[in-house]
Amino acid sequence: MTPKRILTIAGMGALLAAALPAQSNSCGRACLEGYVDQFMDAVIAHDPAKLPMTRNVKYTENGQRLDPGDGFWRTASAKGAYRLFVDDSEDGQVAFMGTMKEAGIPVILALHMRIVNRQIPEVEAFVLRNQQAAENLEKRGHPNPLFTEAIPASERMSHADLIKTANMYFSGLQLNDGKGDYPFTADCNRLENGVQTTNNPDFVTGSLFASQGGPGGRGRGRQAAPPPNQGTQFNPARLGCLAQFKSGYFHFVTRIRDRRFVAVDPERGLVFSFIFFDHAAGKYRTFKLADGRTISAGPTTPWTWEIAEMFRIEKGKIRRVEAVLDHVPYGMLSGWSDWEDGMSSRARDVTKQ
Amino acid sequence: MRIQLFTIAGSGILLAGAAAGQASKSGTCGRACLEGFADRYLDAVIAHDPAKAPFAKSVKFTENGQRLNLGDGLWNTITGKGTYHVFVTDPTVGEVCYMGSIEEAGTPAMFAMRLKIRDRKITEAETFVQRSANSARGFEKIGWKWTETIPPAERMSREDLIKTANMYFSGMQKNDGKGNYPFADDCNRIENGGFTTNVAPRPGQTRADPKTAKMYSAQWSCMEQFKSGLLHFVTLIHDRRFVAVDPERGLVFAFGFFDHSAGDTRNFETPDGRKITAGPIQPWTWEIVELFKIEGGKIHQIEAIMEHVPYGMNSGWSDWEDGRSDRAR
Repeated sequence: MTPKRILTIAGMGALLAAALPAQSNSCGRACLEGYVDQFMDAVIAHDPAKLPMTRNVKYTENGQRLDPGDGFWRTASAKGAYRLFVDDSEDGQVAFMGTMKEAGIPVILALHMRIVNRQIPEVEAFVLRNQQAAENLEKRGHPNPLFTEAIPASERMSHADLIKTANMYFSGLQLNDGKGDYPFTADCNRLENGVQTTNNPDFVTGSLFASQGGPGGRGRGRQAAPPPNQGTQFNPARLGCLAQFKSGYFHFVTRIRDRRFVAVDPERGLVFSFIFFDHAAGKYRTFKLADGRTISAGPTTPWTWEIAEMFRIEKGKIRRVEAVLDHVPYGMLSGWSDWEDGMSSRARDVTKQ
Repeated sequence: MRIQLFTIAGSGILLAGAAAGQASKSGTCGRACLEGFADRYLDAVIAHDPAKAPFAKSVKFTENGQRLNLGDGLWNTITGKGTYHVFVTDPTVGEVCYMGSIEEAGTPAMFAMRLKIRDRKITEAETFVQRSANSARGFEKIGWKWTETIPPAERMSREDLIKTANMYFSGMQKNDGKGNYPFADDCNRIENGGFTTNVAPRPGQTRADPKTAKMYSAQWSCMEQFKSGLLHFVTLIHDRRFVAVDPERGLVFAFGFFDHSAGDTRNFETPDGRKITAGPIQPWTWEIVELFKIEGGKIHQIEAIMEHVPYGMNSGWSDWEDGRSDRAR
């Protein structure tokens, strides 16, 4: 199928979507994305009254419950160019990943809001205060056009199957041993904090740890992160998604938990999730690759990434992965789960709640 | 004076031993007993084996504000003890607190903990790892002692000790230079292994002048810093938990969080009317363990370890309302 043909179908898809009767919340794509812009306008104005939140709205920022008006509400200063949306009109959910400025400094915002009767009862914000990452994304100017391309109607996957496939990414990565079922397309690529971390010989796997200042770092000049892939010259970043997972290299990701799938867009094959990657360190750093070599890799102290992760899935296979990662206290939760759910590796579809 | 203090300290320990025999929440577990639990806890962590310490079945364990299962977190990575430590032991409530240097994966770090002991079991373990080699080396080098005893006639009540320590937090939060700041003339503070008060100017450097400075200076005394009004950008000190008090030694051990809200809160006036803009430009929270030595109603020594955490984070031991409140608990 030529790109032109796909675009034509995509165009039809958009028309079809617009023609569809109002969904449960009668808030379609433009309506949902409008709320994201309203959020940005309201935080830039430092004025919660400018966003139609319910009286009992729950607002979290980087996993912490705050009063609306606190945190990013005091400091947001401008919108950015990079804007990626996952619109879930079926469930009244909208998710966003993109650039903004805070006190004039580029940041990445990941956002999830629930819309009920044109009001917002839930706002989950994740601000990555990592200027380099934000500039990486901003330089791209816009997300991959693939993310707004409709999947041909006959090939669309169900909401449940999309989540199931995305979750296989997490299950394959957790204690990765190279032997799992990894549903990737041959041309799959991943972007993390604005950097392509697959098929990229210029990137060194593990250097994201160093970019956050090393263990306990958060960019404060603490210890440097350990050299990645000790014991071998193996750099998985030069490989594709499937080869990376088949290598067994990511075994040091000991637990992927609090897996919350917050928005699903079957028309575009998109899934948006929030999760945490724990790296327990210690004895978990030393393991066998799939080819039998023993290596030590990963952080030397307990390390958790808070992550917003978006997947483009086509015909049961993951074609693109985009993630925003921030170093947080080991074992931290999202603020939207109780401790048992937050520490569990179970996939949770929270779009229907 | 030093010899005399040590003599008093010696008799203090005897007195404490006798006091521990009286009713307390930890049963007959006095100073040595409680500190023994702290040692056993740390030995178990170093052995990477929770079975080596006497935990209650329902024990709650947190590390850096996050609830974890025993055996996770530092349990996997600690490699040894360092040379510096201090206890704040509180038989009255059956709690022992500890701050000291450790080694994790071969790198020095700072460690603090609070253990609650009931019926000879650890029912609560609240820990904090500050992963900075420089901090640990600094504390080891300075090696402050905290064991000197306050003469019995001069001892303050638990309530007054907490009240005085809390005045430190209340004086710093939105600091305006006009509060009641109970600092002794010799008050000194170490944060993350380095002095942040009374630091001598470097050769050729002029001492910062509180009347003209736009940012508080580590060259100033505790009192000068608070009277400058230049710490205003600490907008909220929340989840203030005073977890162990030792009236015999005049010690108070606290956990808290310092929020810096940034934005408009960076703009403020000094007591003499100068307009200042200062503080972090993006929202910033320090998770903090703070130890105070208080005598005669005045703070003499402050020692703190602090780690940058997500803005607004709480301890894991408070509900959200208490966690966001600046009330002393």
